[in-house]
Amino acid sequence: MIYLKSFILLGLSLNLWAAPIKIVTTLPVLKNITEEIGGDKVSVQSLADPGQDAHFVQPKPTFMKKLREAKMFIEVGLDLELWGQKIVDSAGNPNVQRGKPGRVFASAGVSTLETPAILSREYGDVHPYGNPHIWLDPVLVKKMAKNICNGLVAVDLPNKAFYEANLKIFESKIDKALVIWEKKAKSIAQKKLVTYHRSWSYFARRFGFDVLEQIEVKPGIPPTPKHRDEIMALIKDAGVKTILMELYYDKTAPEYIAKRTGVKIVQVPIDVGAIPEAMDYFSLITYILDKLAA
Amino acid sequence: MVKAILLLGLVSLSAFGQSTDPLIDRVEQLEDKINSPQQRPNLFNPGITAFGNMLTCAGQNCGSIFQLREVELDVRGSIDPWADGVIIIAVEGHDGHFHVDVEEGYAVLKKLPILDDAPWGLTLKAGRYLQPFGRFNQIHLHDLPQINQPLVIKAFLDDHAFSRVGFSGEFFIPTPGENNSLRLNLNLINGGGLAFINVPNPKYPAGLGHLSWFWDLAAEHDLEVGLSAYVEHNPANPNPIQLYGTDINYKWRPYHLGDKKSFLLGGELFVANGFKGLNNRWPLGFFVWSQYQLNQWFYPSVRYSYAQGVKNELLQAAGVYLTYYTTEFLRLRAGYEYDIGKNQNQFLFELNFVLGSHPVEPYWVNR
Ligand SMILES: [Zn+2]
Repeated sequence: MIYLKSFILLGLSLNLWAAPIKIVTTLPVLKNITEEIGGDKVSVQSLADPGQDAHFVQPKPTFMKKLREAKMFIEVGLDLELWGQKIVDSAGNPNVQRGKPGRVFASAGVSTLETPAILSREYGDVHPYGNPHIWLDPVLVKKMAKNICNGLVAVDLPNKAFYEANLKIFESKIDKALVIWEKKAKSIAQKKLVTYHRSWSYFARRFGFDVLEQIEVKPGIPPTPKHRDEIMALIKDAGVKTILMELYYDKTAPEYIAKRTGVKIVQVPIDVGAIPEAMDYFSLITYILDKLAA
Repeated sequence: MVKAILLLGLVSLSAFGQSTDPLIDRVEQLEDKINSPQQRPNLFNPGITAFGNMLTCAGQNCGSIFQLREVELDVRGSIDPWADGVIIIAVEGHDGHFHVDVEEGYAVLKKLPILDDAPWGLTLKAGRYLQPFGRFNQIHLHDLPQINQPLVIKAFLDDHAFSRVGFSGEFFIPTPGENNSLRLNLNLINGGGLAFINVPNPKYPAGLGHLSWFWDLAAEHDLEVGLSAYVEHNPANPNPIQLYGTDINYKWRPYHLGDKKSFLLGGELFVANGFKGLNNRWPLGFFVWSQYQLNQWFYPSVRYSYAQGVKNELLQAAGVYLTYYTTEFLRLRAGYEYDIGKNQNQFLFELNFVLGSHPVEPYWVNR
């Protein structure tokens, strides 16, 4: 009888102490969403540093080592993480190959903006499948969370109900926050923006901003003096008051423009964890809107 | 018109939406869909890239002033879910004559045929490929950080690149800690024909191994140390022919500056042994180089190379280079090379262009 009891206890404890599913994401924002859905059933590592440009992360052998052990690999997709496939290729992990349940593209099913009608390097070099910076629209983040949830269910069916319940909670948290964010955005009088890179299209569409131009000539192509001068003329003509840019872009051209036009530079993180004030998705969006309102 | 129909059709759906204005969201999404072309239309076609490399040379021992050094065609894609294929055909130009060479042509198996899991992340490669003896030998002409391969590679391995037919297996060796990674690459190849021995035909089987230990020293600093060994059983020699090498590369790349700054310092050392006519001297060669990225466009670089005991010659060369990228697809490079042994000067100007599906990669810094 005592034996039986201890067997049951042992069985229970094994179940309770089931090792969390090892997951690797490309970006910290994906880690954040995955943790919201996966809770204590997952252990998530992000490869990129939140202060890095997601397009240009160096595919290091230590990343491959991390991915080797993973049950799941989550990336945004749309060729945002140009380095993601390289890591998969060298990791030698069958779980995360394209087409396996352990390979998740968070952008699946999202219809992109700025999808080029013709694929040509003439149109810049880092957004061949349309704009991949989808996570700056909270409504699209719900879609990303759903894709991640589907991925978790596919690799861990016994916990389906747990993941789906967490997804519901996350969605309602987004819906609640969205009401506050939209109110905040409405209160910002200056809706016209110039941005550095085309990262803000979804954010602008959601919150009613109007991105008139980019300081980059084309996505991935840095500013030329001629383009910089055109931007200055545009800023004066259209009465733009704000340049919105990520922390990691070079400030030389924006500062040159600001000095001559009086426009304000708003520099913000674009990913979770880059600064102490934006350690999760909700505080990230709040921080960006607060900075724009300031 | 489209909008009106969509709006009509969607009125009934709007009740299920969760966002503040689901109807507008849905219309926007559908509009995007209508306006977007099909994504990834070339799903089943391999990626095809063409590289062109032109060199202008002034000074001593230049040959033609203007040379189209190489045109390379790179075709790659997935063979099936578990295998990728790569074919690289180089058309090399020498003073107005061209010859075609299959620089690489191989298949990579990402999963073993019977096993469900790849032990230690084992990947197998079969075909002709650039051999992993050090790091520079695996870099194609169009990707080099300087204008030519270092003379050490030319003196010990091959005039162009040491590419051979064979099999390779690469796997991780477990190491403690998350900040380092140890990988071993073992190869069984057609040996012979190495530049430092005068055996022209690759005939004898050879083994080649490369062990690479990568360290994340700190967030923006990393170090990679490699050891290479090549052993060939050649009946013309009393002992197996041996070549050993070590390569070391340090990289600094600040995150907050995107791809605008970087610093690289590296070198490779080769030592050979075990063939006739050695006279107790071990042929030895090394090169050291460095590159500092000033901004998104300019990359100055220096290199010094030394080799002794190969065909009883002492070879020494130094070079300074300045590279300018408009994007990663078009690169201009000016260089000055001084051959110390022969007391020869060369002024070089290189133009490199890339056409086709080659993905955007953050320059040589990331390879
Ligand atoms: Zn982008």
